[in-house]
Amino acid sequence: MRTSDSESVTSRWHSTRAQFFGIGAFYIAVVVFFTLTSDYFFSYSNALNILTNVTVIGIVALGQTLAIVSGGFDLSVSGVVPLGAVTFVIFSNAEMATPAAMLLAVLVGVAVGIGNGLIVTKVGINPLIATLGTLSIAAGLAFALSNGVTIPMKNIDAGVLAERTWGRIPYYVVTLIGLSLVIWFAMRFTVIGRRIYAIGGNREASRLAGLRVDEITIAIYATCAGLAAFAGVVVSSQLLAGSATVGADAALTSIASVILGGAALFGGVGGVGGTLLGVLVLGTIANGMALLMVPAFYQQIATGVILLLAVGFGRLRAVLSG
Amino acid sequence: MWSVEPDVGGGTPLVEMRDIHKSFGGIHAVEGVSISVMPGEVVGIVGHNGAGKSTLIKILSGAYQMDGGAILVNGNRVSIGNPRDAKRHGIETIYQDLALHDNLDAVANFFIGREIHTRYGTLDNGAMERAARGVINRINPSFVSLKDPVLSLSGGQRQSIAIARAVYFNARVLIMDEPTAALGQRETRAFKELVLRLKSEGIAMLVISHDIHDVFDMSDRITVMANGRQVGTRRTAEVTKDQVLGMIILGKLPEEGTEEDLAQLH
Repeated sequence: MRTSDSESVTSRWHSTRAQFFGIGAFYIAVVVFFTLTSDYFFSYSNALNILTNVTVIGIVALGQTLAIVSGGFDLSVSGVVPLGAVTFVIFSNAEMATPAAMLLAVLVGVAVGIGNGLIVTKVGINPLIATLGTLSIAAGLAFALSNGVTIPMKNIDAGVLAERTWGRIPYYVVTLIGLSLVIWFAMRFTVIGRRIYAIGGNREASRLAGLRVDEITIAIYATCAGLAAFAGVVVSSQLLAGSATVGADAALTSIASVILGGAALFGGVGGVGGTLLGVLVLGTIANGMALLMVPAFYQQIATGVILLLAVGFGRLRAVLSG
Repeated sequence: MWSVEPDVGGGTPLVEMRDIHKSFGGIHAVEGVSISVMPGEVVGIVGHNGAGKSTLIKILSGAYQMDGGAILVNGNRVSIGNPRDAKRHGIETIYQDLALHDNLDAVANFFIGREIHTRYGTLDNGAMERAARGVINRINPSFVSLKDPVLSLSGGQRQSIAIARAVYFNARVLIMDEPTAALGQRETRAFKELVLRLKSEGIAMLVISHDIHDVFDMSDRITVMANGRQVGTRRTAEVTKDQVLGMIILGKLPEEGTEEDLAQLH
Protein backbone atom coordinates (compact mmCIF):
# COMPACT_ATOMS: atom_id res chain seq x y z
CA MET A 1 0.00 0.00 0.00
CA ARG A 2 2.66 2.48 0.98
CA THR A 3 4.67 1.93 -2.15
CA SER A 4 1.63 2.48 -4.34
CA ASP A 5 0.88 5.70 -2.45
CA SER A 6 4.27 7.14 -3.13
CA GLU A 7 4.18 6.02 -6.75
CA SER A 8 0.95 7.91 -7.19
CA VAL A 9 2.51 11.03 -5.77
CA THR A 10 5.72 10.70 -7.72
CA SER A 11 4.16 10.01 -11.08
CA ARG A 12 3.98 13.69 -11.87
CA TRP A 13 7.74 13.79 -11.54
CA HIS A 14 8.29 11.51 -14.51
CA SER A 15 9.05 14.31 -16.88
CA THR A 16 11.38 16.10 -14.49
CA ARG A 17 13.20 13.07 -13.18
CA ALA A 18 15.56 12.86 -16.14
CA GLN A 19 16.50 16.51 -15.85
CA PHE A 20 16.81 16.17 -12.06
CA PHE A 21 19.32 13.34 -12.44
CA GLY A 22 20.99 15.12 -15.32
CA ILE A 23 21.62 18.20 -13.22
CA GLY A 24 22.68 15.97 -10.29
CA ALA A 25 25.28 14.28 -12.50
CA PHE A 26 26.40 17.69 -13.72
CA TYR A 27 26.77 18.85 -10.13
CA ILE A 28 29.00 15.88 -9.30
CA ALA A 29 31.12 16.71 -12.36
CA VAL A 30 31.42 20.31 -11.17
CA VAL A 31 32.50 19.17 -7.70
CA VAL A 32 35.07 16.76 -9.16
CA PHE A 33 36.41 19.45 -11.51
CA PHE A 34 36.97 22.03 -8.78
CA THR A 35 38.35 19.40 -6.40
CA LEU A 36 41.01 18.60 -8.99
CA THR A 37 41.77 22.19 -9.92
CA SER A 38 41.72 23.88 -6.50
CA ASP A 39 43.43 22.82 -3.30
CA TYR A 40 40.92 24.67 -1.18
CA PHE A 41 37.66 23.52 -2.74
CA PHE A 42 36.93 20.15 -1.18
CA SER A 43 36.75 20.88 2.52
CA TYR A 44 34.15 21.21 5.24
CA SER A 45 34.80 24.90 5.68
CA ASN A 46 34.43 25.58 1.95
CA ALA A 47 31.22 23.56 1.86
CA LEU A 48 30.04 25.83 4.63
CA ASN A 49 31.14 28.82 2.54
CA ILE A 50 29.05 27.64 -0.36
CA LEU A 51 26.01 27.07 1.87
CA THR A 52 26.49 30.50 3.40
CA ASN A 53 26.70 32.14 0.00
CA VAL A 54 23.66 30.40 -1.48
CA THR A 55 21.31 30.94 1.46
CA VAL A 56 19.91 34.27 0.32
CA ILE A 57 19.27 33.11 -3.23
CA GLY A 58 18.04 29.75 -1.88
CA ILE A 59 15.32 31.43 0.18
CA VAL A 60 14.26 33.54 -2.79
CA ALA A 61 14.30 30.48 -5.07
CA LEU A 62 11.91 28.58 -2.75
CA GLY A 63 9.28 31.26 -3.33
CA GLN A 64 10.14 31.44 -7.01
CA THR A 65 9.49 27.68 -7.23
CA LEU A 66 5.93 28.24 -6.02
CA ALA A 67 5.42 31.05 -8.52
CA ILE A 68 6.83 29.13 -11.49
CA VAL A 69 5.16 25.79 -10.69
CA SER A 70 1.81 27.60 -10.48
CA GLY A 71 2.38 28.99 -13.96
CA GLY A 72 3.67 32.44 -12.96
CA PHE A 73 6.89 34.37 -12.49
CA ASP A 74 8.08 36.81 -9.88
CA LEU A 75 10.63 39.36 -11.01
CA SER A 76 9.76 41.69 -8.13
CA VAL A 77 12.00 39.69 -5.75
CA SER A 78 14.89 41.82 -6.99
CA GLY A 79 13.13 44.81 -5.46
CA VAL A 80 11.66 43.04 -2.45
CA VAL A 81 15.01 41.67 -1.20
CA PRO A 82 16.46 45.21 -0.77
CA LEU A 83 13.12 46.50 0.52
CA GLY A 84 13.11 43.77 3.19
CA ALA A 85 16.79 44.46 3.96
CA VAL A 86 16.23 48.21 4.43
CA THR A 87 12.93 48.05 6.33
CA PHE A 88 14.31 45.43 8.73
CA VAL A 89 17.19 47.71 9.71
CA ILE A 90 14.91 50.76 9.93
CA PHE A 91 12.48 48.91 12.20
CA SER A 92 15.34 47.48 14.25
CA ASN A 93 16.97 50.90 14.62
CA ALA A 94 13.62 52.23 15.83
CA GLU A 95 14.22 50.13 18.96
CA MET A 96 11.85 47.41 17.84
CA ALA A 97 12.42 43.89 19.19
CA THR A 98 14.33 41.86 16.60
CA PRO A 99 11.62 39.23 15.94
CA ALA A 100 9.04 42.01 15.52
CA ALA A 101 11.33 43.88 13.11
CA MET A 102 11.83 40.67 11.10
CA LEU A 103 8.11 39.98 11.03
CA LEU A 104 7.27 43.52 9.92
CA ALA A 105 9.89 43.43 7.16
CA VAL A 106 8.43 40.11 5.95
CA LEU A 107 4.93 41.61 6.07
CA VAL A 108 6.10 44.51 3.89
CA GLY A 109 7.17 41.86 1.38
CA VAL A 110 3.86 40.05 1.75
CA ALA A 111 2.07 43.31 0.99
CA VAL A 112 4.04 43.70 -2.25
CA GLY A 113 3.23 40.06 -3.06
CA ILE A 114 -0.49 40.57 -2.49
CA GLY A 115 -0.21 43.53 -4.85
CA ASN A 116 1.47 41.28 -7.42
CA GLY A 117 -1.25 38.67 -7.01
CA LEU A 118 -4.06 41.20 -7.35
CA ILE A 119 -2.53 42.75 -10.46
CA VAL A 120 -2.04 39.32 -12.06
CA THR A 121 -5.46 37.88 -11.19
CA LYS A 122 -7.89 40.76 -10.96
CA VAL A 123 -6.38 43.19 -13.45
CA GLY A 124 -5.22 40.35 -15.67
CA ILE A 125 -1.73 41.64 -16.45
CA ASN A 126 0.92 39.11 -17.48
CA PRO A 127 3.06 38.15 -14.43
CA LEU A 128 6.30 39.16 -16.17
CA ILE A 129 5.06 42.70 -16.77
CA ALA A 130 3.19 42.99 -13.47
CA THR A 131 6.17 41.95 -11.36
CA LEU A 132 8.56 44.00 -13.50
CA GLY A 133 6.50 47.01 -12.48
CA THR A 134 6.46 46.14 -8.79
CA LEU A 135 10.17 45.29 -8.96
CA SER A 136 10.83 48.87 -9.93
CA ILE A 137 8.44 50.22 -7.28
CA ALA A 138 9.88 48.07 -4.47
CA ALA A 139 13.50 48.80 -5.43
CA GLY A 140 12.77 52.52 -5.66
CA LEU A 141 11.03 52.40 -2.30
CA ALA A 142 14.11 50.73 -0.76
CA PHE A 143 16.30 53.55 -2.09
CA ALA A 144 13.85 56.22 -0.91
CA LEU A 145 13.58 54.74 2.60
CA SER A 146 17.37 54.54 2.94
CA ASN A 147 18.04 57.87 1.16
CA GLY A 148 20.32 55.86 -1.06
CA VAL A 149 22.85 55.24 1.67
CA THR A 150 23.72 52.14 3.67
CA ILE A 151 22.12 52.26 7.11
CA PRO A 152 24.26 50.67 9.85
CA MET A 153 22.43 48.41 12.27
CA LYS A 154 22.55 50.12 15.69
CA ASN A 155 21.72 47.00 17.65
CA ILE A 156 24.30 44.37 16.67
CA ASP A 157 22.18 41.69 18.38
CA ALA A 158 19.61 42.16 15.63
CA GLY A 159 22.04 40.30 13.39
CA VAL A 160 21.25 37.11 15.31
CA LEU A 161 20.56 35.11 12.14
CA ALA A 162 24.17 35.55 11.04
CA GLU A 163 25.88 36.00 14.41
CA ARG A 164 24.63 32.84 16.09
CA THR A 165 25.58 29.40 14.87
CA TRP A 166 24.44 25.87 15.41
CA GLY A 167 27.73 24.07 15.63
CA ARG A 168 29.56 25.92 12.87
CA ILE A 169 26.42 26.42 10.81
CA PRO A 170 24.95 29.95 10.92
CA TYR A 171 21.31 30.24 11.94
CA TYR A 172 20.29 31.47 8.51
CA VAL A 173 21.53 28.27 6.87
CA VAL A 174 19.43 26.32 9.38
CA THR A 175 16.53 28.63 8.48
CA LEU A 176 16.96 27.85 4.78
CA ILE A 177 16.91 24.12 5.53
CA GLY A 178 13.81 24.52 7.71
CA LEU A 179 11.96 26.60 5.12
CA SER A 180 12.93 24.13 2.39
CA LEU A 181 11.53 21.21 4.37
CA VAL A 182 8.26 23.05 5.05
CA ILE A 183 7.74 24.05 1.42
CA TRP A 184 8.86 20.66 0.10
CA PHE A 185 6.35 18.97 2.40
CA ALA A 186 3.57 21.40 1.49
CA MET A 187 4.09 21.01 -2.25
CA ARG A 188 4.40 17.27 -2.14
CA PHE A 189 1.96 16.04 0.47
CA THR A 190 -0.75 18.63 1.08
CA VAL A 191 -3.97 19.57 -0.65
CA ILE A 192 -2.77 23.10 -1.33
CA GLY A 193 0.43 21.74 -2.89
CA ARG A 194 -1.50 19.50 -5.25
CA ARG A 195 -3.65 22.46 -6.24
CA ILE A 196 -0.59 24.58 -7.02
CA TYR A 197 0.52 21.91 -9.51
CA ALA A 198 -3.02 21.74 -10.88
CA ILE A 199 -3.22 25.49 -11.48
CA GLY A 200 0.18 25.47 -13.16
CA GLY A 201 -0.85 22.51 -15.32
CA ASN A 202 -4.16 23.92 -16.53
CA ARG A 203 -5.48 27.15 -15.10
CA GLU A 204 -8.86 27.06 -16.83
CA ALA A 205 -9.49 23.42 -15.91
CA SER A 206 -8.65 24.33 -12.32
CA ARG A 207 -11.25 27.07 -12.38
CA LEU A 208 -13.84 24.70 -13.87
CA ALA A 209 -12.97 22.11 -11.21
CA GLY A 210 -14.00 24.69 -8.64
CA LEU A 211 -10.57 25.68 -7.35
CA ARG A 212 -10.26 29.20 -5.99
CA VAL A 213 -7.60 29.95 -8.56
CA ASP A 214 -7.31 33.68 -7.89
CA GLU A 215 -7.04 33.32 -4.13
CA ILE A 216 -4.42 30.58 -4.40
CA THR A 217 -2.44 32.66 -6.92
CA ILE A 218 -2.48 35.71 -4.63
CA ALA A 219 -1.34 33.54 -1.71
CA ILE A 220 1.53 32.20 -3.82
CA TYR A 221 2.78 35.67 -4.78
CA ALA A 222 2.39 36.79 -1.16
CA THR A 223 4.48 33.82 0.02
CA CYS A 224 7.09 34.37 -2.67
CA ALA A 225 7.55 38.06 -1.84
CA GLY A 226 7.43 37.33 1.91
CA LEU A 227 10.31 34.88 1.46
CA ALA A 228 12.19 37.44 -0.65
CA ALA A 229 11.79 40.04 2.10
CA PHE A 230 13.06 37.47 4.61
CA ALA A 231 16.06 36.89 2.35
CA GLY A 232 16.62 40.64 2.64
CA VAL A 233 16.53 40.31 6.43
CA VAL A 234 19.24 37.65 6.13
CA VAL A 235 21.39 39.93 3.95
CA SER A 236 21.13 42.75 6.50
CA SER A 237 21.96 40.31 9.29
CA GLN A 238 25.09 39.29 7.39
CA LEU A 239 26.12 42.89 6.64
CA LEU A 240 24.88 44.32 9.96
CA ALA A 241 23.51 47.10 7.78
CA GLY A 242 20.62 47.78 5.43
CA SER A 243 21.38 48.67 1.82
CA ALA A 244 19.11 49.19 -1.16
CA THR A 245 21.81 47.90 -3.49
CA VAL A 246 21.60 44.25 -2.42
CA GLY A 247 19.71 41.50 -4.17
CA ALA A 248 19.59 42.99 -7.66
CA ASP A 249 20.42 39.57 -9.14
CA ALA A 250 17.73 37.78 -7.07
CA ALA A 251 15.14 37.46 -9.84
CA LEU A 252 17.47 36.21 -12.54
CA THR A 253 19.44 33.81 -10.34
CA SER A 254 16.36 32.41 -8.59
CA ILE A 255 14.53 31.82 -11.88
CA ALA A 256 17.68 30.26 -13.35
CA SER A 257 17.94 27.93 -10.33
CA VAL A 258 14.30 26.85 -10.55
CA ILE A 259 14.48 26.15 -14.28
CA LEU A 260 17.86 24.45 -13.89
CA GLY A 261 16.21 22.24 -11.26
CA GLY A 262 13.81 20.87 -13.85
CA ALA A 263 10.76 23.11 -13.52
CA ALA A 264 8.73 23.76 -16.64
CA LEU A 265 8.86 27.37 -17.76
CA PHE A 266 5.08 27.46 -18.14
CA GLY A 267 4.19 25.76 -14.89
CA GLY A 268 2.88 22.49 -13.53
CA VAL A 269 6.25 20.79 -13.13
CA GLY A 270 9.10 21.36 -10.70
CA GLY A 271 9.90 21.11 -7.03
CA VAL A 272 11.97 22.12 -4.04
CA GLY A 273 14.58 19.36 -4.49
CA GLY A 274 15.39 20.38 -8.04
CA THR A 275 15.45 24.06 -7.15
CA LEU A 276 17.91 23.54 -4.31
CA LEU A 277 20.11 21.50 -6.61
CA GLY A 278 19.95 24.34 -9.14
CA VAL A 279 20.88 26.85 -6.42
CA LEU A 280 23.80 24.65 -5.35
CA VAL A 281 25.08 24.23 -8.91
CA LEU A 282 25.19 27.97 -9.53
CA GLY A 283 26.58 28.69 -6.03
CA THR A 284 29.26 26.03 -6.29
CA ILE A 285 30.42 27.22 -9.69
CA ALA A 286 30.63 30.79 -8.39
CA ASN A 287 32.62 29.55 -5.39
CA GLY A 288 34.94 27.40 -7.46
CA MET A 289 35.61 30.16 -9.96
CA ALA A 290 36.39 32.55 -7.12
CA LEU A 291 38.85 30.02 -5.69
CA LEU A 292 40.48 29.79 -9.13
CA MET A 293 40.74 33.61 -9.14
CA VAL A 294 38.43 33.94 -12.10
CA PRO A 295 37.07 37.53 -12.15
CA ALA A 296 33.52 37.77 -10.82
CA PHE A 297 31.93 38.95 -14.05
CA TYR A 298 32.81 35.66 -15.71
CA GLN A 299 30.59 33.94 -13.14
CA GLN A 300 27.66 35.83 -14.56
CA ILE A 301 28.56 34.62 -18.03
CA ALA A 302 28.91 31.06 -16.71
CA THR A 303 25.47 31.23 -15.07
CA GLY A 304 23.90 32.28 -18.35
CA VAL A 305 25.67 29.61 -20.37
CA ILE A 306 24.75 26.84 -17.92
CA LEU A 307 21.11 27.91 -17.86
CA LEU A 308 20.91 27.95 -21.65
CA LEU A 309 22.62 24.56 -21.86
CA ALA A 310 20.31 23.01 -19.27
CA VAL A 311 17.14 24.32 -20.90
CA GLY A 312 18.54 23.49 -24.32
CA PHE A 313 19.17 19.87 -23.33
CA GLY A 314 15.66 19.72 -21.88
CA ARG A 315 14.21 20.94 -25.20
CA LEU A 316 16.37 18.53 -27.15
CA ARG A 317 15.19 15.59 -25.05
CA ALA A 318 11.57 16.66 -25.42
CA VAL A 319 11.99 16.88 -29.20
CA LEU A 320 13.78 13.51 -29.40
CA SER A 321 11.17 11.73 -27.28
CA GLY A 322 8.44 13.22 -29.43
CA MET B 1 -42.15 30.44 -26.05
CA TRP B 2 -43.92 27.53 -24.43
CA SER B 3 -45.43 26.44 -27.71
CA VAL B 4 -42.04 25.18 -28.85
CA GLU B 5 -41.54 23.15 -25.69
CA PRO B 6 -43.37 19.81 -25.83
CA ASP B 7 -44.94 18.45 -22.67
CA VAL B 8 -42.19 16.68 -20.75
CA GLY B 9 -44.71 14.50 -18.95
CA GLY B 10 -45.59 14.58 -15.28
CA GLY B 11 -43.24 15.52 -12.47
CA THR B 12 -40.76 18.27 -11.83
CA PRO B 13 -37.72 18.59 -14.06
CA LEU B 14 -34.43 17.89 -12.33
CA VAL B 15 -33.05 21.03 -13.91
CA GLU B 16 -34.80 23.75 -15.80
CA MET B 17 -33.30 26.80 -17.52
CA ARG B 18 -35.89 29.47 -18.27
CA ASP B 19 -35.57 32.29 -20.78
CA ILE B 20 -31.76 32.44 -20.53
CA HIS B 21 -29.99 35.49 -21.96
CA LYS B 22 -26.25 36.01 -22.33
CA SER B 23 -24.29 38.59 -24.32
CA PHE B 24 -20.58 39.06 -24.89
CA GLY B 25 -19.99 42.70 -25.71
CA GLY B 26 -22.68 43.47 -28.25
CA ILE B 27 -23.10 39.87 -29.37
CA HIS B 28 -26.18 38.00 -28.14
CA ALA B 29 -24.76 34.52 -27.63
CA VAL B 30 -27.93 33.14 -26.05
CA GLU B 31 -31.33 34.81 -26.37
CA GLY B 32 -34.34 33.53 -24.48
CA VAL B 33 -33.53 29.82 -24.49
CA SER B 34 -35.45 27.46 -22.20
CA ILE B 35 -34.62 23.82 -21.64
CA SER B 36 -35.45 21.26 -19.02
CA VAL B 37 -34.39 17.72 -18.28
CA MET B 38 -36.16 15.05 -16.25
CA PRO B 39 -34.48 12.38 -14.11
CA GLY B 40 -33.13 9.65 -16.37
CA GLU B 41 -33.72 11.72 -19.46
CA VAL B 42 -31.20 12.59 -22.16
CA VAL B 43 -31.71 15.90 -23.95
CA GLY B 44 -29.58 16.54 -27.00
CA ILE B 45 -28.64 20.09 -27.94
CA VAL B 46 -27.73 20.56 -31.59
CA GLY B 47 -26.92 23.49 -33.86
CA HIS B 48 -24.18 25.05 -35.91
CA ASN B 49 -20.95 26.37 -34.45
CA GLY B 50 -21.79 29.66 -32.79
CA ALA B 51 -25.41 28.67 -32.22
CA GLY B 52 -24.93 29.25 -28.48
CA LYS B 53 -24.95 25.65 -27.29
CA SER B 54 -21.69 25.79 -25.37
CA THR B 55 -22.55 29.18 -23.88
CA LEU B 56 -25.87 27.79 -22.66
CA ILE B 57 -24.35 24.81 -20.89
CA LYS B 58 -21.47 26.85 -19.50
CA ILE B 59 -24.09 29.01 -17.75
CA LEU B 60 -25.53 25.88 -16.16
CA SER B 61 -22.10 24.56 -15.18
CA GLY B 62 -21.13 27.88 -13.58
CA ALA B 63 -18.35 28.80 -16.01
CA TYR B 64 -20.36 31.82 -17.26
CA GLN B 65 -22.90 33.99 -15.47
CA MET B 66 -26.16 34.65 -17.30
CA ASP B 67 -27.43 38.17 -17.95
CA GLY B 68 -31.08 37.19 -17.54
CA GLY B 69 -33.29 34.19 -16.92
CA ALA B 70 -33.71 31.61 -14.20
CA ILE B 71 -32.26 28.24 -13.28
CA LEU B 72 -34.38 25.81 -11.28
CA VAL B 73 -33.19 22.63 -9.61
CA ASN B 74 -36.04 20.34 -8.53
CA GLY B 75 -38.39 23.27 -9.08
CA ASN B 76 -36.48 25.59 -6.76
CA ARG B 77 -34.78 28.66 -8.12
CA VAL B 78 -31.04 28.52 -7.52
CA SER B 79 -28.19 30.88 -8.21
CA ILE B 80 -25.09 29.44 -9.86
CA GLY B 81 -22.25 31.94 -9.58
CA ASN B 82 -19.30 29.61 -10.15
CA PRO B 83 -18.48 25.97 -10.86
CA ARG B 84 -18.57 25.14 -7.14
CA ASP B 85 -22.22 26.21 -6.92
CA ALA B 86 -23.14 23.98 -9.84
CA LYS B 87 -21.38 20.99 -8.30
CA ARG B 88 -23.19 21.61 -5.02
CA HIS B 89 -26.46 21.17 -6.89
CA GLY B 90 -25.26 17.90 -8.42
CA ILE B 91 -24.56 19.45 -11.82
CA GLU B 92 -21.32 18.01 -13.24
CA THR B 93 -19.84 18.91 -16.60
CA ILE B 94 -17.67 17.00 -19.02
CA TYR B 95 -16.09 19.61 -21.25
CA GLN B 96 -15.16 19.04 -24.85
CA ASP B 97 -11.44 19.30 -24.06
CA LEU B 98 -12.24 17.28 -20.90
CA ALA B 99 -10.58 19.99 -18.77
CA LEU B 100 -7.92 17.67 -17.37
CA HIS B 101 -4.53 18.50 -15.92
CA ASP B 102 -1.99 16.86 -18.21
CA ASN B 103 0.78 17.14 -15.62
CA LEU B 104 -1.15 15.15 -12.99
CA ASP B 105 -2.07 11.48 -12.91
CA ALA B 106 -5.60 10.07 -13.21
CA VAL B 107 -6.15 9.91 -9.45
CA ALA B 108 -5.05 13.49 -8.91
CA ASN B 109 -7.26 14.65 -11.78
CA PHE B 110 -10.16 12.68 -10.39
CA PHE B 111 -10.07 14.42 -7.04
CA ILE B 112 -8.77 17.86 -7.93
CA GLY B 113 -10.70 20.42 -5.91
CA ARG B 114 -12.27 17.67 -3.77
CA GLU B 115 -9.21 15.84 -2.48
CA ILE B 116 -9.53 13.27 0.27
CA HIS B 117 -7.24 14.48 3.01
CA THR B 118 -6.26 13.54 6.51
CA ARG B 119 -7.25 15.81 9.35
CA TYR B 120 -3.85 17.46 9.03
CA GLY B 121 -4.57 18.61 5.50
CA THR B 122 -2.22 16.10 3.90
CA LEU B 123 -3.33 14.12 0.87
CA ASP B 124 -4.70 10.63 1.51
CA ASN B 125 -3.38 9.15 -1.73
CA GLY B 126 -4.23 5.59 -0.77
CA ALA B 127 -7.91 6.35 -0.16
CA MET B 128 -8.13 8.44 -3.33
CA GLU B 129 -6.55 5.74 -5.44
CA ARG B 130 -8.87 3.02 -4.11
CA ALA B 131 -11.96 5.15 -4.70
CA ALA B 132 -10.89 6.25 -8.18
CA ARG B 133 -9.91 2.73 -9.23
CA GLY B 134 -13.32 1.39 -8.23
CA VAL B 135 -15.30 3.92 -10.24
CA ILE B 136 -12.99 4.16 -13.24
CA ASN B 137 -12.93 0.38 -13.64
CA ARG B 138 -16.72 0.30 -13.56
CA ILE B 139 -16.84 2.94 -16.32
CA ASN B 140 -13.95 1.52 -18.35
CA PRO B 141 -12.71 -1.95 -17.34
CA SER B 142 -9.69 -1.72 -19.62
CA PHE B 143 -8.33 1.33 -17.80
CA VAL B 144 -5.14 0.47 -15.96
CA SER B 145 -2.75 3.42 -16.00
CA LEU B 146 -4.00 5.38 -13.01
CA LYS B 147 -0.54 6.62 -12.18
CA ASP B 148 0.69 8.01 -15.46
CA PRO B 149 0.27 11.68 -16.25
CA VAL B 150 -2.99 11.84 -18.20
CA LEU B 151 -1.09 13.46 -21.08
CA SER B 152 -0.16 9.95 -22.19
CA LEU B 153 -3.72 8.57 -22.22
CA SER B 154 -6.08 7.99 -25.16
CA GLY B 155 -9.16 10.15 -25.74
CA GLY B 156 -11.41 7.40 -24.41
CA GLN B 157 -9.34 6.93 -21.27
CA ARG B 158 -9.25 10.65 -20.66
CA GLN B 159 -13.02 10.77 -21.01
CA SER B 160 -13.39 7.83 -18.62
CA ILE B 161 -11.67 9.91 -15.96
CA ALA B 162 -13.96 12.87 -16.54
CA ILE B 163 -17.13 10.75 -16.49
CA ALA B 164 -16.05 8.57 -13.57
CA ARG B 165 -15.28 11.72 -11.61
CA ALA B 166 -18.77 13.09 -12.26
CA VAL B 167 -20.41 9.78 -11.32
CA TYR B 168 -18.35 9.39 -8.17
CA PHE B 169 -19.36 12.81 -6.93
CA ASN B 170 -23.05 11.93 -7.29
CA ALA B 171 -23.85 13.86 -10.43
CA ARG B 172 -27.62 14.13 -10.81
CA VAL B 173 -27.29 16.17 -13.96
CA LEU B 174 -24.47 15.43 -16.36
CA ILE B 175 -23.60 18.01 -19.00
CA MET B 176 -21.54 16.65 -21.88
CA ASP B 177 -20.06 18.86 -24.60
CA GLU B 178 -19.24 16.84 -27.73
CA PRO B 179 -18.65 13.65 -25.74
CA THR B 180 -17.88 11.46 -28.75
CA ALA B 181 -15.63 13.92 -30.59
CA ALA B 182 -12.39 12.45 -29.26
CA LEU B 183 -13.51 8.81 -29.36
CA GLY B 184 -12.90 6.01 -31.80
CA GLN B 185 -15.77 3.81 -33.07
CA ARG B 186 -15.39 1.18 -30.38
CA GLU B 187 -15.08 3.80 -27.67
CA THR B 188 -18.16 5.60 -28.99
CA ARG B 189 -20.19 2.36 -28.77
CA ALA B 190 -18.99 1.84 -25.21
CA PHE B 191 -19.88 5.42 -24.43
CA LYS B 192 -23.47 4.99 -25.69
CA GLU B 193 -23.87 1.90 -23.50
CA LEU B 194 -22.59 3.91 -20.58
CA VAL B 195 -25.18 6.62 -21.25
CA LEU B 196 -27.93 3.99 -21.08
CA ARG B 197 -26.57 2.73 -17.78
CA LEU B 198 -26.41 6.22 -16.30
CA LYS B 199 -29.95 6.85 -17.55
CA SER B 200 -31.20 3.77 -15.73
CA GLU B 201 -29.65 5.17 -12.56
CA GLY B 202 -31.82 8.25 -12.95
CA ILE B 203 -29.07 10.63 -14.00
CA ALA B 204 -30.28 13.40 -16.28
CA MET B 205 -28.03 14.31 -19.20
CA LEU B 206 -27.62 17.29 -21.48
CA VAL B 207 -25.58 16.31 -24.51
CA ILE B 208 -24.18 18.71 -27.08
CA SER B 209 -23.16 17.04 -30.30
CA HIS B 210 -22.39 17.78 -33.91
CA ASP B 211 -23.16 14.20 -34.82
CA ILE B 212 -26.87 13.93 -35.55
CA HIS B 213 -26.69 10.12 -35.51
CA ASP B 214 -25.22 10.09 -32.03
CA VAL B 215 -27.90 12.49 -30.84
CA PHE B 216 -30.66 10.30 -32.26
CA ASP B 217 -29.10 7.20 -30.69
CA MET B 218 -28.85 8.71 -27.22
CA SER B 219 -31.45 11.38 -26.65
CA ASP B 220 -35.08 11.37 -25.60
CA ARG B 221 -35.62 14.95 -26.73
CA ILE B 222 -33.67 17.25 -29.00
CA THR B 223 -33.36 21.02 -28.68
CA VAL B 224 -32.21 22.82 -31.81
CA MET B 225 -30.43 26.17 -31.50
CA ALA B 226 -29.50 28.67 -34.20
CA ASN B 227 -27.89 32.08 -33.80
CA GLY B 228 -28.34 32.06 -30.05
CA ARG B 229 -32.06 31.33 -30.27
CA GLN B 230 -34.04 28.19 -29.69
CA VAL B 231 -35.53 26.90 -32.91
CA GLY B 232 -37.50 24.31 -31.01
CA THR B 233 -37.50 21.18 -28.93
CA ARG B 234 -38.91 17.87 -30.17
CA ARG B 235 -39.22 14.34 -28.88
CA THR B 236 -36.62 12.28 -30.69
CA ALA B 237 -39.17 9.57 -31.45
CA GLU B 238 -41.45 12.08 -33.17
CA VAL B 239 -39.00 13.65 -35.63
CA THR B 240 -36.81 12.43 -38.45
CA LYS B 241 -33.15 13.25 -38.88
CA ASP B 242 -34.06 15.29 -41.95
CA GLN B 243 -36.51 17.35 -39.97
CA VAL B 244 -33.89 18.09 -37.31
CA LEU B 245 -31.32 18.92 -39.98
CA GLY B 246 -33.90 21.27 -41.47
CA MET B 247 -34.32 22.97 -38.12
CA ILE B 248 -30.55 23.36 -37.80
CA ILE B 249 -29.98 24.66 -41.30
CA LEU B 250 -33.11 26.74 -41.87
CA GLY B 251 -33.62 27.81 -38.27
CA LYS B 252 -37.34 26.99 -38.60
CA LEU B 253 -39.63 24.33 -37.18
CA PRO B 254 -40.49 21.52 -39.66
CA GLU B 255 -44.10 22.70 -39.95
CA GLU B 256 -42.88 26.20 -40.85
CA GLY B 257 -40.53 25.01 -43.53
CA THR B 258 -41.72 25.12 -47.11
CA GLU B 259 -41.37 22.26 -49.52
CA GLU B 260 -38.73 24.27 -51.40
CA ASP B 261 -36.73 24.84 -48.23
CA LEU B 262 -36.68 21.16 -47.47
CA ALA B 263 -35.88 20.32 -51.05
CA GLN B 264 -32.76 22.45 -50.75
CA LEU B 265 -31.48 20.09 -48.12
CA HIS B 266 -31.16 17.24 -50.56
